[in-house]
Amino acid sequence: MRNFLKITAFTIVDLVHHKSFYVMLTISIFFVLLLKGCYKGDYMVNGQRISPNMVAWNASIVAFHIVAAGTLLIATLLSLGIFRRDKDDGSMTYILSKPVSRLEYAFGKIAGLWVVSFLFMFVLHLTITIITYFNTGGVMPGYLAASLVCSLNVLFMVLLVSLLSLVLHDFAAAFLSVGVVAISFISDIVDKVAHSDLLKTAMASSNEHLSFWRILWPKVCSLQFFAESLIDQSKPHQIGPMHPSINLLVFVGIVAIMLVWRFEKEEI
Amino acid sequence: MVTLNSVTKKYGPLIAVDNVSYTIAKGEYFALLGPNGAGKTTTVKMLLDFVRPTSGSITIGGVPCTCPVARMNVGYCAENHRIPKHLTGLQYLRRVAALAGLSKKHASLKADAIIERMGMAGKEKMEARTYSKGMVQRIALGSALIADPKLLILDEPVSGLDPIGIREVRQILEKLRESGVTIILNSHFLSEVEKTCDTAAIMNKGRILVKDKLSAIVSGGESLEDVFVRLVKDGHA
Repeated sequence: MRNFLKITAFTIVDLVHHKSFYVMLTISIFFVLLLKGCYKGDYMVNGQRISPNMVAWNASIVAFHIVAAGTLLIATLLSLGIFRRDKDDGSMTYILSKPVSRLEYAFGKIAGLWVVSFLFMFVLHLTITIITYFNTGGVMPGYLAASLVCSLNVLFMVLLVSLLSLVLHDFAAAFLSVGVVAISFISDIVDKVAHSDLLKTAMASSNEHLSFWRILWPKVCSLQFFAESLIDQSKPHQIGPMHPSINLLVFVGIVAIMLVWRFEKEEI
Repeated sequence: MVTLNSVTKKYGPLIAVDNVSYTIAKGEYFALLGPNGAGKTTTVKMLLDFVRPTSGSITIGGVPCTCPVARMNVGYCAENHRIPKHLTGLQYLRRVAALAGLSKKHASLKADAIIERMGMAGKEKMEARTYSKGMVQRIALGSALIADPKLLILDEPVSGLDPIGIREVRQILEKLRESGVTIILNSHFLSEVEKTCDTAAIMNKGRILVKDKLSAIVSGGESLEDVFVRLVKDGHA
């Protein structure tokens, strides 16, 4: 356990050591700060003035989703080829020549990547919360808790990219991982739209049948919808019988087992 | 201290190590010799569990080498050792010491002592990207010594060092041997091996051609280099 924590700490230090990390974080915070503009103007819909608080609320929820999804791309970039990089720069040799098991090493790396990616997302969500507070005077309950929920998505992405980049070229690993998440977003958004009140009214006889693979697919997007429901206290939309967090936990477990199995066979 | 029991490593049709068995006693200064591609580095990597044997078993101090505990008292210096470029020599040594189980304070003290011992004082806060090959080798050797190992595995440890550095390393290893440390040296520097080692094994094409006390291998007036060339060229494998 102590070695696991040490390797996690080394990984965090190594990741935040790069200047490019701070450049990415600064650019992201800058874009989030642009949200301030949404809170200032007057908005009219069908001749009716929309309250600025309502606009701020909706803008913050949209920003929440963009940041949560964008962090998955950041996690992909950070995790890509992580073990290969360690092998090339000698890190793997110095760590595994000591009484450290491969399990401790692999999970220490994953934990470090997860912490850094999650903190990246959390800082951006915190920035949005602060902007909203200063512009509307109200605190969005559940916003940061929703960010914590989305950390499960980040963990899934880190594990998936790390596993795939052990067996594939970096480009292919990134492409496949982003593909898995993209399919989840398309499938879950289509399902949510199909179950919206407006569409249900318009298409009373819509087909309720849902493909089996869509029920089983990693519910990355559904988990974000669930996180959103913590912010606006709405009833979460769920596809299939399994809660998205349970679905993601199962996938995290499967990918983690596959990663350990593959890494045990890795030659250094 | 170290036992290899019928160890074979295959890469597809290529047999890198072929049914190798030997024992290295505690306190022995053992040299593993052979031409390029003989299987020396693969053997060393199997000792550290970097590579798993296709068949056979290896134990260190009676513990299977696949168990991390077997590496508890092992120091390792790799051939063409690499240090993460963004780390300073001092940071690297502290990390190695921490992973070897030393407390933060002890790791710090040991790292400072090793920097002094390896002649790197004044350069310990430079990033590894600025180090010459010899400086990397000194830090690498220092990292192998930092936790007072009982078994030292050195793969071409003097590669990249100048004659003064080679002499210093020889003196350090001599002292370690006197204190009972078991040393496995994988080297092409036959003259160095002849000066320092107790026993040696000569490998070729994955097989052990001879394993004996150095005095027995070089008996008959031949130098170690003569014996090495004769055995390898005769195709004993």
